[in-house]
Amino acid sequence: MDQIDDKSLELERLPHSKSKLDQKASKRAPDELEQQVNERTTQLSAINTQLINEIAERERAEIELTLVKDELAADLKTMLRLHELSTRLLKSTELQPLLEEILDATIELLNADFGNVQLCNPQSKALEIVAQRGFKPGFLDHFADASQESRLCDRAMSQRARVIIDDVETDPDFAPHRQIATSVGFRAVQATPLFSRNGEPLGILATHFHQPHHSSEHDLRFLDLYAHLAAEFIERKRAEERLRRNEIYLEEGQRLSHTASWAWNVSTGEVYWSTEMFRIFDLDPDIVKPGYPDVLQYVHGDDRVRVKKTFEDAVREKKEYELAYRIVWSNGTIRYIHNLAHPVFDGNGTLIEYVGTTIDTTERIQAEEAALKAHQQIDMILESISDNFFGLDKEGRFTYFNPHAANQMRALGRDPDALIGRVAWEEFPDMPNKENVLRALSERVVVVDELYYAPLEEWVENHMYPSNDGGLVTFQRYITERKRTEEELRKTQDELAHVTRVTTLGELTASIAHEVNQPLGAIVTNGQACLRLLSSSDLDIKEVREAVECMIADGIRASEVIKRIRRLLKKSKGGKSSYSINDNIREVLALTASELTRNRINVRTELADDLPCVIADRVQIQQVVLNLVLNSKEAMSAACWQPCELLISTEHAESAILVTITDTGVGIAPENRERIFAPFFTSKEEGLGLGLSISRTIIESHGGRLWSKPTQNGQGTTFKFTLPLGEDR
Amino acid sequence: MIAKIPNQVVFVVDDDASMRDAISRLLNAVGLTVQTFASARAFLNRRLPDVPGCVVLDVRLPGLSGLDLQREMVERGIHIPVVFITGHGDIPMSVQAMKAGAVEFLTKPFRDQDLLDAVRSGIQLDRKAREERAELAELRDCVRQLTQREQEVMSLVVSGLLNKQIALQLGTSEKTIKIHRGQVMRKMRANSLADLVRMSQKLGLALISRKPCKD
Repeated sequence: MDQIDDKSLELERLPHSKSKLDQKASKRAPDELEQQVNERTTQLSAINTQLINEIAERERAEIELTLVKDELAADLKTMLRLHELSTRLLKSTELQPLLEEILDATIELLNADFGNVQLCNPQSKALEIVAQRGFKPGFLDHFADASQESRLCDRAMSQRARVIIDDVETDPDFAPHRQIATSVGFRAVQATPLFSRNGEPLGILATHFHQPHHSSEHDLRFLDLYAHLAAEFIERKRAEERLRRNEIYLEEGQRLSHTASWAWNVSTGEVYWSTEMFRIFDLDPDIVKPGYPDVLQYVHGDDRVRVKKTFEDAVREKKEYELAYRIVWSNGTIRYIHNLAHPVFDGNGTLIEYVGTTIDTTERIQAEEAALKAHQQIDMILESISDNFFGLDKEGRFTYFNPHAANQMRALGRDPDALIGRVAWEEFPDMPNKENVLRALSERVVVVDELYYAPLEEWVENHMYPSNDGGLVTFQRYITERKRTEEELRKTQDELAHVTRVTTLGELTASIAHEVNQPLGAIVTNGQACLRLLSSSDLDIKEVREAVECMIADGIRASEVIKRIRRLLKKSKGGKSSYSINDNIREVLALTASELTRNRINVRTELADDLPCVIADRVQIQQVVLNLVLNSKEAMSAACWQPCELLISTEHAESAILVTITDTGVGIAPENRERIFAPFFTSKEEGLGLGLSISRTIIESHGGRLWSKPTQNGQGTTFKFTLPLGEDR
Repeated sequence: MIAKIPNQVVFVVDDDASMRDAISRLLNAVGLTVQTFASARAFLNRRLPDVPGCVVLDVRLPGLSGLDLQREMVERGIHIPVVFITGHGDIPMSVQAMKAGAVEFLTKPFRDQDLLDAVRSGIQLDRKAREERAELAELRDCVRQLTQREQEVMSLVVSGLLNKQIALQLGTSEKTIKIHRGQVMRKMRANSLADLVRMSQKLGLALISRKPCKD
C-alpha cells in the first residue's frame, strides 16, 4: 500500500515541472519577432505542452507499467512461494514447520502483524493453536481456556466462510469481544476456515492487525490459495498418519491374533505374505520368497495331498475355500493353521488371484484339547464317584445330577431330567435337612449333616459346599453301613467298658466286702446288745431304741453300698443325664474309702461348689474316676516311703468342667506318658491294661479330654480330664 | 455271775462310728466300762486309767493301723491285752497279731459271747500281769536291799552249791557264808530255800541283767 501511495504522490508533482518551461520561453520575445517568436513559442509551447503531456503521459504509463510490474513481481513471488511450498509438501514429513511457513507467508501477503493456525481436534472437535506468530504468551493461555477469540474462529468454522473484521472498534458483530481484542492488541482480524476436499472442517488460518485494515480482493484470492495449500497439507498429513497407524494396527493385530494375510496369483504362482505369515511359518522374510507350489513343502506330510487337492479344486471351481492343516517348522515343531481364502476376478470374470487369511490355531487347539480333556475328566470324576452329586442354584433349584444322584431320583420315582430347574424343597417337602441347605445357601458356609431319610431307608451324610455361582454343590453318601458299624463299635466299647468295670470291681472285692461287712457287724453287735439289754432286770428302753435305730441306719448303709456296686456293674445303655460331677467323685470315694485307708492313703477333696451340671453317662464317668483313683492308689502303695496323699479337685474351666486327680505315687516315666493310654499297656502284674485306654475312650466320646502330667512340686502323677458342659445349663 | 467290776475299763478303737457305738453298747450292757477312740493316734495321746483293762482294736484303721498300734504299745511299754476285730481277717494278719501277743482275733460280725469272753480274758490277763508285775517289783525292792556280796551268795545258793563250796569259790570262810545266807533269806523274806529259788527264777533275767549295775 505504501508503495502505491508513493507513486500517486509523484504524479501530483508533474504540473510543477511544466510551469518552469513556460517561464524560460517568455523571456526571448520583443515584437514581431517577438510575435513570431510568440507564435512560434505558442506553437512550440503547444507542441511543448503536447510533448510535455506526452512525456507526462508516457511517464505515467511507465509508472503504471512499473506498478504492474511490481505487482506482477509480488504475485510471482507469492506464486513461487506457493509452488515451493507445494513441492515441499510432497517431500516433507513434518506438518508443524510447514504450517508455520504458510502462516509466515500469509502474514507477509496480507501485511498482517501476527496470526495463528488452529486445527480442529478430531476427537474433541475443539480448535487448538498449532502454529502462531507474534502472540504474547498470555494470549495463548487465554486461548486455551476457550477464549473469546476462538468464538470468531468458531463462527468462521460454523459459517464455513471467512470472517473479516476490518476494525473491531466499529464492527457491531465484534462488540462482545472488543475487550479481548484490546488486551491482545489487534484492531482488525481475518479468519479463513480450512476444509478438506470432502468438506470436512480442518482448522482456521487467522491473521491479526494492529491497525484497522481492509484486505484487497487480490490479497484474499492469494489467501485462499494459501488456505487451500494448508488444508491440503493437513489433510494429506492426516491421511498419511492414518495410513501409517492402520499399517501398524494391522501388523500388530495380525501378530496378536496370529492372523496373517496373503495373496496368491494363480497364473504366475506368485505369492504375497504379510509379516505375520512369515512368523506363522517361522520363516525369515529376507531369505524366503514364498511361492506356489513351493509352499507345500512346509505342510505336514500327512496333510499335504489333501491341501494340494483343496487348492487345486478351488482354483478349478473358482470357489472360496476354507482349510485346516498342519505345518512343520524347520525345527520339527508342528503348528496348526487355518486358511480362509476367496477368489478375486477381473472385469471379464477371469480368476486372477486368491486373497486370504491364515490363522495359527495351535494354542487354541491345544487349549481346546486341554479344556475338553479337563471337561471329560470332570465328567468322568463326577460319574465315577460313588457319592450322589447334586448341583443347586442360588434359588435352590436342581442344576445337575450325576448318574448316582439320577438313579436315586429314579429310585424315589422321580425323573431326574424333569427335576432340573425345580426347587429342591418344593419337590421334596419331606426333605429333613431343608434348614441346613438354606443355611449353606444364605450364609455361604460349608455344612455337613447326617440324617436318616425314611423314603430311602438309608442314613445319608451330606456335604454342602457353596459354589461360585451362588448355589451349592452337594455330595451325598450313604452311611447306613457305617452307622451300623459305629453302633456295633459303640456296643463293643460299652461291652468292653463293662468288662473292665467288672474287673476293676474285682480288684475292689476286699474293700467292698469290708464296706458291707462294717454295717453288718454293727447291726449284729447292736442286735446282740439289744437282746442282753432286753433280758436285763432293769430294762433301759431308751438304750434299746437307740440300738435299733442304729441297726436300721446300718442296714440302709449296707444296702447303699450294694446299690453303688450294682450301679457300677449295670450295663450302660449309653443314656446321658445331667448331674453334678461331684456326685461321681463322692460315690467313688465311698466305694474306695476302705481300700484307700488300708493303703494308708490320705484323701483330700477340693470340690467346687455351684458347679454347672455335665451331661454324661453317669456310670461311665464314675468308671473313669474309679479307674484314676485306683491307679493313683496303686502308684502310691508302690511308693510306700512317701507320705501318701490323693487330692481330687473339680473346677469350672471355660466351657468345661475340669477334674484333677493328683497323687504322690511313683510317677510315670516320661517315655510312657502317652503309652499308658494305649490298650494292654500295664505296669501292674494283674492289670488288664485297659483301664486308661477305656477311660480315654469314654471321656473322648463325651467330647472331653484326658491327659496326664507329673505332679507339680514333687513326685507322682496328676491326671486331668475335662467334660464339656451341657448346652442347656 | 456277772458282777460289777468297777476298777476295769475296755478301750474300743475303731474308725467306724456305728461299730464303735455298737461294741460300746454291748460292753455296757454287761456292765463293762468303755472308752472309745476313732483312731490309733487318739488312743496313744490319751492318758489311760491305771486299772486292769483290755483294748478292742480294729485292724484296719486310717493312718496308724491296728497292728501298728499294737507294736507301738509294746514299744511304749503299754501292756494292755489286745482283742483284734476285723472286717475280713486273713491268716497272715491274724498270725502276726497273735504272735505279737493278741488275746483274740475276731472277724466281724462276731458272736457277742466271743467278744465278751475275749475281753474278760483280756482283763483277767491284765489283772494277773499287773499282780505279777507288782510281785516282781516287790522282789526287786528286796533284791535292791542286798549287798553285792549277798547277791553273789544268793545266786550261788540258788544254783544249788553248798556253803562250803560257796566259801571256797568266794575265798572266804563257811561261817561268813552262813551269815550272808541268813541275811539273804531275811531280806528276801524267803521261808525256805525252795522259796528263794522260786523268787530267783521269777527275777530271772532281771537279776542277771542287773548284775553289772550297782544301784
